[in-house]
Amino acid sequence: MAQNPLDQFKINRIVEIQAGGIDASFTNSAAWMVVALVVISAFMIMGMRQKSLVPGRWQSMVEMSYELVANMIKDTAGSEAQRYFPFIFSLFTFILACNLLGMIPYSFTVTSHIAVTFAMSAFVFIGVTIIGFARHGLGYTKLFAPEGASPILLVILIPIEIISYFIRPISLSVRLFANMMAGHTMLKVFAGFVISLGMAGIVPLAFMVALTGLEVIVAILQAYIFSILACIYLNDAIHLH
Amino acid sequence: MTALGGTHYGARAFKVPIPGIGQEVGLDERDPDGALSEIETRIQQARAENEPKTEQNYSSAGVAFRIGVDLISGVAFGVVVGLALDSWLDTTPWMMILLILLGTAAGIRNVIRTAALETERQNRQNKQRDNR
Repeated sequence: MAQNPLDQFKINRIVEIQAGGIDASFTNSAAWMVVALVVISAFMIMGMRQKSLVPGRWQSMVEMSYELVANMIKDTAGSEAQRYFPFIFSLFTFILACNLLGMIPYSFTVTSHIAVTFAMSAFVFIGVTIIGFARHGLGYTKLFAPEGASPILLVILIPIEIISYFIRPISLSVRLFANMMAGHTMLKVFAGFVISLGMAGIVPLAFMVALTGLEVIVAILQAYIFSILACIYLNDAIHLH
Repeated sequence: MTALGGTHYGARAFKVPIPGIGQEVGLDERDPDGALSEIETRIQQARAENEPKTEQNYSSAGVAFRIGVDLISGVAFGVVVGLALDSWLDTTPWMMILLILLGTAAGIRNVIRTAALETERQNRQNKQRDNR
């Protein structure tokens, strides 16, 4: 049994693969990503198998997740951003599936590693920057110069705006990773108290039940926040705010 | 029943006998004390009370989660990039000091932007609800 609360984040190689000096092993993290993909695909494909006009329970769940993301994009980034729907939807469902699968005991939380979350947020950041420059050309750099500011103030404002643009992917990835890691570590620490306190362990046990519910909310909320922020950045790139 | 004749279609065409009166009336005329229309307004009120509130609570929680990290990551970015620039340009500690200040300002800038966006979105939502 794992005693250290941080043991749950350890990455184990399942199949060792060395490709040209790069360690490309199939790890437990990769395995849980595959599980997430299988779960999402099964949820979508099986849910839409009947394609009935009046949806059943499963089909209406699929339709609800579609509508949630579609409305989110329309509300925050306008109808022009609808063409990026497949990307935002994949992002949302992948993070949601990884977060929720991480709540299963003995599973591995993919999103509790900054390498994973930063890869996703860097992809959003680079993609949004490319879209911005493709749509507005060099005019996209106007994003860094607030309108109506005096030239002297611009000397200070432009570095601040540029830095605030570059810390977006960092805060985006840190938020998801920190929330998942902190929550899971806390659950493990309290679980340790349950055994060491003996009979009085019922108190931390009750607390853990409440905490598990909170963690499920956080798992859903963080997936929502990650994708809504991607929409907000997309909005900046499309409408230049 | 002779109700389905002539040009009457829809609810008016289906006549139901009301016991005790002995006379046929259309469905929408069968509401003497306005009980049906009263319950309709009550349903609408209940809906208006429940729906937007829950929605707003969850998105407010989302904003609260967002703002904290925004503030910290500005400072963290300043420290890390400042230290890296210092060791590269040999200017310890000046770049770090400068970048912490700029990073903090950038973090606060992001918080203000998030707050402004959220206010704008809520105003839009309120307007939509008023129109409904």
